[in-house]
Amino acid sequence: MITSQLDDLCILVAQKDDELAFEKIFNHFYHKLFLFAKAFLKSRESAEEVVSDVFVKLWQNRESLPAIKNLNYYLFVSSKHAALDYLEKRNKLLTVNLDDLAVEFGEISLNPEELFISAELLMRIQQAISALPPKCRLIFRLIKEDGLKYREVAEMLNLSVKTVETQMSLAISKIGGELLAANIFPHANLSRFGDDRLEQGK
Amino acid sequence: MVGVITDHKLLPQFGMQPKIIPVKKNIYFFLRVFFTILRLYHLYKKCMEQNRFWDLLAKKKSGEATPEEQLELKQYFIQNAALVEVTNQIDALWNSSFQSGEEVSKQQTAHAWSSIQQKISTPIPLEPDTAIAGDNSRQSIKMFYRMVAAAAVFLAIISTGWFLIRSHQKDQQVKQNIVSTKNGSKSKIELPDGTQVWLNAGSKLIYDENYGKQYRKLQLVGEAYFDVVHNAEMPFIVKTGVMDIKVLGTAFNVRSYPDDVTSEATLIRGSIEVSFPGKQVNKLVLKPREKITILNKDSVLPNALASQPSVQSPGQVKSIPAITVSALTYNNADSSVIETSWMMHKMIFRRKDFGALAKDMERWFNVSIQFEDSTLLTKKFTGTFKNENIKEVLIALQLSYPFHFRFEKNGDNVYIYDK
Repeated sequence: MITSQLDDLCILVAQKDDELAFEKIFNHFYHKLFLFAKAFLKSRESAEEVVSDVFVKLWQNRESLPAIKNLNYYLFVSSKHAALDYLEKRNKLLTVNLDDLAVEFGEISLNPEELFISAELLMRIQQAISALPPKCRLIFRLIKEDGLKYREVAEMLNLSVKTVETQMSLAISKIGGELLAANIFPHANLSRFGDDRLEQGK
Repeated sequence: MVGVITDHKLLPQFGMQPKIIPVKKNIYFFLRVFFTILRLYHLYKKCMEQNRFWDLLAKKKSGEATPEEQLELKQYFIQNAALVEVTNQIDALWNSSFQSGEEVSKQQTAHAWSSIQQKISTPIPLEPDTAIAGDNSRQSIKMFYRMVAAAAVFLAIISTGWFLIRSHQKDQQVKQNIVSTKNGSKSKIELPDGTQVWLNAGSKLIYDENYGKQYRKLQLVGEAYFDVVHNAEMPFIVKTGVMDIKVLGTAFNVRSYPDDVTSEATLIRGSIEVSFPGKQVNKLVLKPREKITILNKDSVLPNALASQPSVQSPGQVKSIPAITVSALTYNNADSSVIETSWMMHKMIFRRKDFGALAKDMERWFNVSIQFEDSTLLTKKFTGTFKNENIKEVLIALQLSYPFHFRFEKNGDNVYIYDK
C-alpha cells in the first residue's frame, strides 16, 4: 500500500470512525507484526494476543492516528514493547537475546523461471537464508519485507546502524554468493547436489 | 673441561654447515612468508572489496545508499560483469515476497480481525459515560453507577414495552436488512445462520429478519462470494435479476451488476442449481469449477441454445450467447481463480473490453470514467493489479494500447480519449 493511501485511511478512521478503513489498515499490517511478535514470544497464541492488543489500543486512540508520522515504524515499536511487556508480566525473560529469536521466514513466492534460475538454486538460496543467524534474519526481514529503515531497525533493537549494515551485508552476500557460484560453475553445484543425494541414498 | 675443548675443536668443522644452510633456508623462508603474506593480503583485499560490494548492494536495495555509494557500486559493475547478473537476480528476489502461504496468512488475518472487531465495534451508548466517571472520586462513581443502573432499568422497561407493542402491531410486516458497499470498498458479513458473505464494491445484499428462521433467501445486486453453512432442510437461495441460485451448502461467487452486459455465477465447491425466473428455460445444475454466464439484457433467447447450453472455453466466446456454461479461469502466475481474485484485493482480467474494464475500475477505485472515443470501448486488455492506484493502472494499460487520459474534479472523473 502506498503511504498516501494509508494516510487517507488514517484520516477516515480518526474523523469518521470508519471501521472498514481500520480493517484495511489492520489487514495491511497484521501479518508482519504477528511474525515479528512471534519471533520474541515464540508462541502463536501469545503473538496473536499481543498484536491484537496493539490494534485495539490503536483504535482506542484513533483520534491521534493522523498525527503518527510513520505508522509502519510506530506499529513495529508498539508491538515490540507489547511483546516485551507480555514476557515481563509472565516473568519469563528480563532481557531478550537477539541471537535467540525464532524468526520465521516464509518461502520465496516466486517461480524459479521468473528469476531465470533453477529450482535447485532457489532451494539453495532458501537454505542460505534459513542458515543465517536469527539476528541477521530478523534484520533482513524487517528491512526487506517490512520496509523499515536501517536507522529505525537500529533504534528499535538497540543496535548500532553499523551492526544493521553489517548484518544486511551478510544476508545479501550469502544469497549473492550462492548466485555467483551458480553463475560461474553451473554444473559443479548440480553435481555436488546430486552426490549428496547419492550418499544419502547409500 | 675436556668436553668443552673437543667442542671448540669440533665447531669449525661442523659449524660451517649450520651457519650457511640456515641463511639459505632463511631466504627461502622469508620469501615464502613474504609471498604468503602478499597472497593473504590480496585475498583479504579481495574479500574486503567483495564485502564492500555486498555492503553497497544491501544499502541500495534497502534504499539507504547515498549518491556517492551508488556511483561506487556502478564501478563494481564496470569491473566485473558477473556481478551485474547476480544483481539482476537479487533484484528479482528482492521484489518477490518471502511470504509463503498467502492464503493461510489471509485466513489468519481475517480470523484475528473478527476477534478484534468484537472489541472495537458496537459501543454501548452508556459506556463512555461510565468511562468518564472513572476519573472522579469513588463516591461519585457509586452515584454514577446508581444513576446508570436506574437509567438502564428505565430504558429496558421502556424498550421492552415499546418492542412488545410494536411486535404486536406489526406482526405481519417483515423487517428488511440491507447491507451495501460503496464503490471503492469491500465488506465481509456473517449472516444469522453463520454463512459468510464477502461483498465486493458497489454491491447490495438484502435479506429479511426471517432469514435463517423459516427460509434462507436473499437478494443480491452486484458481486459477492458466499460460503454457505450446510443445512439440508433449509435451502439457501440467492436472487439476482436474471437468475436464482439454490444451494444446500457450498462456496460460490455471484457477479450481477445491473450495468454490466452479463451476470455470472462461479462454483468453487459443492453444487448449485440455477434457475431463470421469467424465462422458458430449464434449471441447470453446476458442477464445481464451472461458471455460468448469462446476458443481463432481456434479449431474445434462442431456445436451442438455452435448453442445451454450449460448453466452450472463455477464449472462444465472440458473440456472447444468452447462457454459457464454461470452466472457471485460473491466473497463470499463481494458479488462483480469477473469478474470486477480488477477495484477495486483486483485479485480474483476461482479454476484457475496455468498456467493461472501465466499469470494474469505476467500482474498484470509486471514480467515474467517461470515454470520449467510442472506438476505445472494444479494445481488449489483459492484466493483474493489486495495490496500484488508478493512475498507475491507466499508465500500465497505455503500454498495451496508446490512449490518453485526464483527471478532472479532484481526480473523481476520468476522461479517456484516443488522440
